[in-house]
This record gives sequence, C-alpha cells and structure tokens, in this order.
Amino acid sequence: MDDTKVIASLDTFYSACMDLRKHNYDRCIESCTIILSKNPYDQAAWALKMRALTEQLSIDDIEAEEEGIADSYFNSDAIAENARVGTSLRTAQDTSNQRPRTVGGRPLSGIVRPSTSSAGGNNLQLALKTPRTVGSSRPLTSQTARNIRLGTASMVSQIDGPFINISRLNFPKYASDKQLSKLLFNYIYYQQNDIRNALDFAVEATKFCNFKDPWWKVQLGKCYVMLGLLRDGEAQFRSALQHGPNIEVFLRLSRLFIRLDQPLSSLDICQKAMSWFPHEVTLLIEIARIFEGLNNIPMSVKYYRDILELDATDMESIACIGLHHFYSDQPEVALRYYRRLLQMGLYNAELFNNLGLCSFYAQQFDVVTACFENALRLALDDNAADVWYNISHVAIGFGDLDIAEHSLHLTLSLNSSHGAALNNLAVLQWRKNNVSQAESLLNSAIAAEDHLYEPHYNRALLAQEEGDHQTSYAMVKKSLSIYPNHYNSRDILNELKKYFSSL
Amino acid sequence: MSLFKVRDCWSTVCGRGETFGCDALVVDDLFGAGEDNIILGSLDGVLRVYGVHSVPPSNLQYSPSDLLIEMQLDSPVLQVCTGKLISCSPSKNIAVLHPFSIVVYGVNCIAGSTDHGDQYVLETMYEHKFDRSAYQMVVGPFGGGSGSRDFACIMSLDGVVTVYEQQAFGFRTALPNYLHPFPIKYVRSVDAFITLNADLCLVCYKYQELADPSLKQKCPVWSCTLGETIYDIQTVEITSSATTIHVLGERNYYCFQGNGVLWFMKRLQYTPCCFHPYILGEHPDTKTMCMIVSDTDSVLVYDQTKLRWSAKLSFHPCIIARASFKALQGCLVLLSETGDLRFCYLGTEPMIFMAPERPIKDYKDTKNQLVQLKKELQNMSLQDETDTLPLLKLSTRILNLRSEGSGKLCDIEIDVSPSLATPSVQITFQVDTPLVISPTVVHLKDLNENITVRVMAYRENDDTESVVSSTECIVCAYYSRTSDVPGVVQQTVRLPMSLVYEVHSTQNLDFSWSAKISVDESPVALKVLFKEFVDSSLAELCFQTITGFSKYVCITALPANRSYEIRSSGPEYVNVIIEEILFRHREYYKTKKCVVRCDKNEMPVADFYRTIEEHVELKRRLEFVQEEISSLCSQYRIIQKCLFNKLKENTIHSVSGLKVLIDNTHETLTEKMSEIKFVKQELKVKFSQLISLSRLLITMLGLCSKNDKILEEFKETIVYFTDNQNWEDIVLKSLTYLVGNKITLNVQSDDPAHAVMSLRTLIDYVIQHITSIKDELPVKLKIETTRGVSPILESEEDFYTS
Repeated sequence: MDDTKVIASLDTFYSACMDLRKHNYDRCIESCTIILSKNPYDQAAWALKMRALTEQLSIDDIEAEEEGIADSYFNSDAIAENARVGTSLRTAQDTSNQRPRTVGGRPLSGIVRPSTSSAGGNNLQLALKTPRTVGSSRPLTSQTARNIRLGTASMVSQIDGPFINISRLNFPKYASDKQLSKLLFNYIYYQQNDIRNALDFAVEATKFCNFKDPWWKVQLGKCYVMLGLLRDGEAQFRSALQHGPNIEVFLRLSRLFIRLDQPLSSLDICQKAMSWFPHEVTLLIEIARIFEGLNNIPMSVKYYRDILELDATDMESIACIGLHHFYSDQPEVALRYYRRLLQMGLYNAELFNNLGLCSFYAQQFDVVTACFENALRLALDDNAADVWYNISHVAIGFGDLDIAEHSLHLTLSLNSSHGAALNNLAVLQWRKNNVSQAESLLNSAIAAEDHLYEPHYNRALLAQEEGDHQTSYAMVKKSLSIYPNHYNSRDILNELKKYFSSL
Repeated sequence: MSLFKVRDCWSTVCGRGETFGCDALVVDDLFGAGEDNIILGSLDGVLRVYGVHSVPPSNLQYSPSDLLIEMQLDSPVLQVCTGKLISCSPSKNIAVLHPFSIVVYGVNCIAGSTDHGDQYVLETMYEHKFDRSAYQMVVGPFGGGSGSRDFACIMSLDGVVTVYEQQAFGFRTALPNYLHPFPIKYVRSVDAFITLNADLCLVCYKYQELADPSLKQKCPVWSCTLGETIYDIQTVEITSSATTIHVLGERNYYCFQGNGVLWFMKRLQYTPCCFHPYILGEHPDTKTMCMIVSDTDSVLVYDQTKLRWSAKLSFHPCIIARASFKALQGCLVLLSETGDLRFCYLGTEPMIFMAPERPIKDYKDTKNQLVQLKKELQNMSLQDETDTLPLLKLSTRILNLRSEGSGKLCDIEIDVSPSLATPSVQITFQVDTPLVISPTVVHLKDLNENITVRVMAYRENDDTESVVSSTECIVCAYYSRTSDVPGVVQQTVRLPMSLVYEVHSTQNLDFSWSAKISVDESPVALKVLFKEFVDSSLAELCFQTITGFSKYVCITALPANRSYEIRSSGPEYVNVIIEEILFRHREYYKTKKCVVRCDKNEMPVADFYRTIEEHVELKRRLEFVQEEISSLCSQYRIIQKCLFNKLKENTIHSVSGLKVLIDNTHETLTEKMSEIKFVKQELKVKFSQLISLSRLLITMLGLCSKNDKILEEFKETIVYFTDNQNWEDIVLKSLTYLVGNKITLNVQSDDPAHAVMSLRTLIDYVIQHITSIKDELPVKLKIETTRGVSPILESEEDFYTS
C-alpha cells in the first residue's frame, strides 16, 4: 500500500522525539540506537537516548524516600537522644492507644507509605529485629538501587555494555556544556543511581555557572541527602530557595528535617511553602503526615479534610479520615469513606476487610460475610493473616468462639508472629481453662510484638490468679510503661502493692 | 471499576493501522457556522476533516456523512493548523506541515441538491518547500497585526525557526542554546514565541527580535528555570491583551502570565500524558480550567489548582481537545495514537456487571462439616503416612578407597530407581563430623529412569583433632510429585573403617582404658574379622587413628575366655571399632544365635561426665569471649561515630586522639577474634568426643540392656546433634521429660554446674533402669519421642541475647 511508503519517509529523529513525548521509551531508544549506529557522534540523538533511558526508570523520588537501618543508626545529626515530648517523631506522645500498632510499633495509619514500616528509635538491635518478623522488611541502607522501578531494570542491560561509561567521562568538559549537563546529571543520578559521581558532576557544573543556577543547588542537595550529609544538603536547599520558591525544594527540605527528627522545623517549612502555594496538595499531605507521625490525629485529620477540598480523589486522605472515624467509634461514617474508595475504583483485600469491619460495627450484618468473602478472595499471603484476624473479631462478636479460634489458628498459620492473634487465642484458651496453653501463648505474643500492652496485662492477670505475684508485678509494670493510663493495669498494680506491703 | 467514567457519544476509527503524532489534531470553526470542525492528519499522510451535522441537534451520533474530507497526501502529515493564511481573504485555511514542506489548502463547499448533502473539496493554495526536517509549526498574527492575517512559523529539528508571511518567505534564524525540539507556541499579547531550551528553561523570544537580522545573539525577553522536560505548551487568550501560558512538565503543571510571571503551579502526583487548558465564562469572571490526562488513563479537570472532576477513560489518548457543537457544548475530543477518535462527555457508568445473587447456603450442613473437620484434625497423627509404598528405591554401594593428597577418599554410588516419573528428588546425607560427604545435597529433576549418583566421602581436612564417633551414613531421598504427598526413603550404609583407622605395628603402647566383650561362641579370629587389614593370623591387632595426634586402639581375641578385649588410649576413640566388631561378629554368626554381653561396670560413665563438664566449661569460655567481643564491637562503633563527627572539622589534630583509641580497639578485637576461633575449634573437638562417648555408652548399654524400649528412647535423647543449641540443655529437658516425676531436681537455677549435676543424676537413673530388670518407668511415656523444645525459638533467643 501507499501508506507504508509514506510513513517510512519520516525522519527517524522526528519519530524518536514523538515516541518520547508519547512515553514509548523502548521505540525511542531503538530509533536512537539506529541513528547512533549510522552516526556515533550525533549529540542530539545521544542525548535523546539518554533522556529516554532516564525517564524510563525515574520515579518520583520524594515519594519513594525511605530511610535505611544503617542510615538511621549512623545518623550523627541526631539532635538529642531524649528529645522533649512533642518535638520528635520518636518520642511522640501516645494519645491514642485505641489504634493498633504496626510491627515497628507505630500507630497504624490509614495507608501504607514507604516510611510507615520504619521503627522509631535509634536502637540498632530493635531496627535489626524488626525486619526479621514475617511480612515486613526494611532496606539496610537507602543507598541501594531501590529507587529503580522494579521490572524495568532488566531492560537496562544492553548487548554491548552500558550506554555511557561514567568512569571514563570527562566531567569538567561535560559539566561546562550547558546543553548536555542537566540531562547527563539526571542520567547519572536516576538511571545509574551513582550518587558519588553525580555529586562530583554537580559540583563541577555549579562551579561553571558561578553558583548561580538554583537547579544545580537542588541537585547538590539531593546528592548530599542521599549520602547522608543532611546539614550540607540543607544549606544547598536553602540557598536554592533564595532564587525563588519551588514546591519541590520545600518538600525536599521538609523531608530532610524529618530525617533529622525535627518535625516542628519541617512543619515550619511547609507552612512557609503554603504561604507561596496555598492550594498545593502535596504540601498539605506532607503536613498531615507529620501531624500523624506526632500522634496529633485531630490536626492531621483537619489537613486531610483540607486536601479533600482541593482534590477529592486523594485516596490517602479518604483512607486516613475513614480510619480516624473508625477508631473514634463512628463506624457508619467510616463506612461512607470506604464506600467512596470502592466507588473510585479501588478493589483490594484491605478495602473489603475495612468495609466488612465497619459494617459489622455499624450493625449492618447483612453485608459483613460478603465483604469478608471478597477480602479473602483478593487477599495475598501477607494480608490474608489480618483478614482472618478480623474475621475472628467478628466471630467473637457473634459469640461463635469455635469459628474465632479457627480463624485465629489460620492467622497464625499465615503469620506466626502475629502478636494480637496470639494474645486473643490465649484469652480464648484461658476461657476454656487451658491455663498452661494460655500462658505459653501469651509469652509468645510478648516475644513476637513487645509493643502491645494487652499480652503484658493478660499475663499479669493470669500470673496474679495463679498466685505468682512476682511475675504479675513485672508484667504489669511493662504494661504500664507502654500504656501509662491503662486503668485495669493500675488496678492490679495497686492490689499488688497492697499485698506486698502487708507482707 | 470506577463509577465516574468518560462516556463517548460519537466515535470512529480513522483509517486502519495509521499512526498519529501529538500535534495531529486541531479543532476550529472552519466555515463560521458556529459549529467546530475537527481536522486531523496522520503520519501516514491522510488528511481528514470532520464536521458534525446531527439531526435533530440533541442526537449526537457518528454517521458516515460526518467525514467531510478525506485525502491521501504523498508525505507524512506532522501537524495541521488553521488560520487566515491567504492574503485578502477572510476565510480560514488549513495549513499542513510535512517533513520538508508546508502546504496551505482552502476548503470549498459545493452545495448539494440531493440527500448526500454538501460536498467539500480541498484546493491547494500555495506550498513552501524547505530542506531542513521540520518539527512543529505555529500559526498566528505575528508582528502584532490586526488579526486579519496569519503567518506561519516552522521550527525544524535542528532548532532553526523559519517564518513565512503567507505566500512570501519571511526570515530564518536559529534559536540559541538548543539541543532537542520542544513544543513552541506564539503568545499574542506580547507578540513572542515561547519554548524550552536545552538548559531546561522556559524562554520567551520577541518576534521583532527574532526577525531582526542585525542581532546575531538572540536574547530571551524572559526565562524561567523549570528543571524538567516538558510534554506540551498551550496558550489561552482570556482577552486580546491577556494570554496565559500553560506548560505541562514531567511532574508539574505551570501557568504563566504573558509577561513571564508564574500565576500558579501544581505538583502532579501522577505522570501526565496530554492536556488542554480552556476558559469558562465571560470576561471578567472567567475561570481558567485545564483537563489533564494521566498515564493511568483518567481525565482530571482542574479549576486552577483545584480538582473539579476526575473520570476514568476506556482507552489511552495522545491528544485531548475541546469542541462545541449545537448538540453538545464543550465536549471532549480524544484521539489515540492509533486513530481512535471520540467525542466524550464526563458521566457516570453504573457497573454493568452485577455480582450474581449468592445462593442461600445451607449453613446447618457447614456446622456439621466443621465438627467433622475438627474430629479429623484431632485424630490425625503423624504415624499413618507409611501405608503407601515408597515411589523410589535406593541402593547404595561403597566403592574402593583411594588416596588423594594427604587424605583418603571413598566413592559412594547410589542407584535411584523411580517407579513413576518424579518431578523432583533431593538426596541428602547424614554423617557425623568430621566425616563429610560432597556434595552435601543432590537435586534431581524430572526423574524418569534409573540414575546413578556418585558422591565422595572423606574426612574434613582442616579438622584434624575431632574424633570420628561413627561410620554410619544415612542416605535420605526426599521426593515430591505435584499430585500427592511428598515422601522419603532412607538407607543406612557403613563407610569403610579404613577411612579413619589404619593398622599400626608397634604393640607395646600405653593404654589407659580397656573393656571386654564376652560372647557365647568362640570369638572370630581377627584374621577373618578384619580381613582387609591383616592377612596373617595374629593374636592382637592394633589400630591407629589417621589424622591428628595418633591414638591407638588394640583388639585381642581371647578364645579361651570367649571374649574380645579392647584396649585404647581413651574411651572416645573406641566406638567405631566396637560397633564394627559387633557388626562383623554378628554377620559371621548370622545363622546362629550368639549373645554378646559386656560388663556394665566397664562402661565409661565417669569419662562421659568428665567430658560433659569440660564441654560446659569450654562453652562458658566461649560465651565469655563472645561477650568481650560484643562489648568491644560496640566500643568500636562508638569510636567510629565520634570519628565521623570529628571528620567534619577537617583537621588532622581533631582525630589524632581517636586514632590511638580505634587502633587499640581494633588490635584487641583481632586478638579476641583469633581466640574465639581457637576456642570454637576446641569446642568442636570436645563435642565430637562427647558424641563419641555417648554413642559408646549406647553401644555398650545395648550389650547389657534389660529394657530395650528405654534404651531406644535414651539413644534418641543423648545422641543429638546441634550446631547452635546447647546440647546439655536439650538433653536435660528431654531426660527430665523421659523420667517424669520419678526424680525431683533442683533445676530452677540457671547455673551450668547445677545443670551438669542434674544431668548426672538423670543419666545414672536411666542407666540403672536400662541395666536392671525392673520396669519402673511409666508406660505412657512410650509415645513421646519428639523433643519438648522447639529449636527455632531458642536459637532466635540466643541471637538476641548474645
């Protein structure tokens, strides 16, 4: 046909450009390779291929940031070991003991973000222990090539070695080339993830433009942060902001302060940014997350509501507000938020699980079974444990302890270190007068997740009933250290004190 | 699955297998009829014009007559534009950009008299040819004209801008700091062009400045660093003097005023594909709206930075635009890369798929099923699995011994014969250290026929002091098929004795330990018994361990006493020999019943306890060194941290003190590390002696046992290999369980000395019971063969506490 002839007369470079605009990275790379095989010194084609390779792998690195164990341990910038209450994410006061905790010991958030799994505290022992439990993991350091979008990384390998051999690059020459330098930097930083060389390159480049270009300052800051030199990074970001406000820089600065464990400075930065960009959703999300980290849930929910005013499709906000309502005993309201998520097209096990729980507590019993059936159908190994755990709750609520016990057993078969399930199973065994089994289950619950106060309290109660006052005292102490205002634990403590003083 | 969808009311597919670029579509009112026309050109060179004539106006549906013009051109269409491109003519024309030319067409309408309606004909007005491959064009009233005539500006792939003033050539100039082509647009209010340069800055060049041939260096009127590449630029005229510039970057959406002031920007939480800004309402209360298509195929409608609507698309468009018809004002026009053209509106679509009504299950039955399941679970036991015949057969042959280097090797051949095709088989070997088998595991896949696996057995070279406690080797084959339960077959073979012992000639040696084994029949002559070692008859045979410090074991057959006498340098070297004698003796008297006995007073119980004590002592020493190392390590880490902090001061002086400290710590650490290595080796040797003694104890107890059941349990208990667990703890726990409440022990204390004492009491008690006739141990203990301690938990605890 005529058609094939016509399109064949198209310039290869034009079609490469067009493919890049349409996100057809592979076709763009192919076209560039053809051009380069004909003329290896075609700078435009070379740079276009570099852009395609970079864009193919680059992700929003502000969202994906995660602090590794080694980073947090060797963090020499920690200001104070024992920060004042309310000024640090690690010593955030626990006002809401109603919310369950994650494996790392943080109160549950409505959404799983890269940083929610990290355990608070500067203790290497604890940090190492956390990833050993089933179903949670944390990178050892953030220096790994984790920023690469998984699944596409295999495409990087090329038949004839890497596209650009960075170690043989003449940095001063390319850094002074205004046309190429920024693209090349992005390639080194995002595609190769070679932070050290990227830093060298950025230093050369910023020198060449007389320290005037804010873009290079931001890149320097990014490199410093990746290398753990947070204070140097801060200086660069602040210097970049003098050239004019920029959302990205504000966000990076805020993240940096979170890594320094200074949430209040971070909030300051965000507020300042809000005065420039009053309707910026990403900034509002940042603020809401910081408040959530500080356990200031009312403020966090207020900001999440502000976000929904501006962007009604923000799933994180809907989920977090829904969670807040659920744990403040308004399951009907939470149900509406989760239904909204369902309408928006979210379709996963967690959502159906939440819908099931909400409808159970809102006494809409007709849909509970259907929701949990859906949740189980969609659940994978890692979240099926939680679904079964919740089913056990529903079963306990209905009074069917047999089913409850079965579901708890299933939970444990999927996740053997599920502390809450161990605790509940212990209570069920206790009811059946299997005291020794209950005792061992409680012990394993404590060993699995020692940030829960319930197993400690139950163990104390059990020990007291058996007359083992010493154990009871030790356990109730632990329980109170986790949840100082737990009324029942105090009750036991008072009784024990009375008993000990009467001896 | 989302409820909010983009629903189409008019759709067609343009051509078959054609490709469309990102500038292929333009929406404009060509005929001044108050209805928009859609003009699009494909890279395959087809130009199409659509106009919608719906009758009645409320019914917008595709009809073939909506395609006004379709024309095949002879080169690819990169872009189409409309404008008043003919001098002295107020009508709009279509400009078509080809790679090497620009053609302007006029559209003539021939009124029809029949049902077919009007007929439209394209007429070529003029054509400009150029020799630089074009990228994009802009049409507009450049130079600040009254708006009655439009010029065309073409940007080529190498950054050269050419302006044609209608039929005439205007000028040509190159843009500075150029590498890749980015979209270029004309801003009418300031009479300037905007595009992105190679420095990732948005730049604005005055038309006058570009047109001035005397200016060699073109300077932008304003520029703004975006720091990212862009997908598209669009301009929207609010009034003739106010134009807004909308830029879609990789992660941000910017809106600038004509003078370069950033009006607002929004950071996008998704990757955008294409966008279309527009204004709603009349001046002065206009709203600036923008539709952005994300790469997850949803359309998001923003009022400045506030999200107004979001809807899911059913396909992936590369161009989004907005058109108005009599039937529908402001409908979305979407074009995909492959030529899917649709007019859509934002609507909702209730899910057509309804979950089928769930059948009302009979839950009565489920309850019974649950009860049944529970019953089955309770009755389930692990013993019932041996009913089925194994699917595999193993036959193991020991081949000849050969010397290689310093050590001796022994080849083992295993024939694996499956009775059915087996997808995966794993063969493992269990031998006592320091004997090893290489490879340790053999994996076989898709086993269909007999296969012979060859492995090697040898003594570990770097461990010269450990004692070989047994030459038994257990070959295990695990197999699994997808359909049924996995199974296991195992076979025990004896490795040749010559792997560990050799004959020694000197006989006047010093033996510290001796034992006698008495037999019913006359003892077998040593020449017969050990025919591979001796060829002449001897009264006495002396063996020597092969490696390490030579230890000797001497056997004498005493026909007069009807017994064998064994003398040795120590009881821990004897077990292999005694086992071998017993085995061979029984082989020899296979047909007859020959009872073998030994004196229970000769059992090396005292040696056994001594070894346990030494073992515990070594363990304690190991723990001590480990503690020292861990404290040194944390000290080292602290110094490192201090060093990191000090390094920031960038002076040698600041770290000199720490240098001494870190060197010293490092030195001590190295010393401790070599010490721990030594202690570990010693511990390993001691443990091998311990196991050897326990095996000897079991072997000798077997000769004077009165109570085989307990002996079997005792054997299971004390011959227990553990790498990372405490042998004493486990044996103590298991024995306590075995004995039950017959003996009360003071086990509350954690002190190892207490544990050893308790162990002694227990072992004494068990030995007594095995050798005496009275069966006092409770019968119910029989079923207990598993150990009461879960190995995994304990090792984990070790990890955290050490």
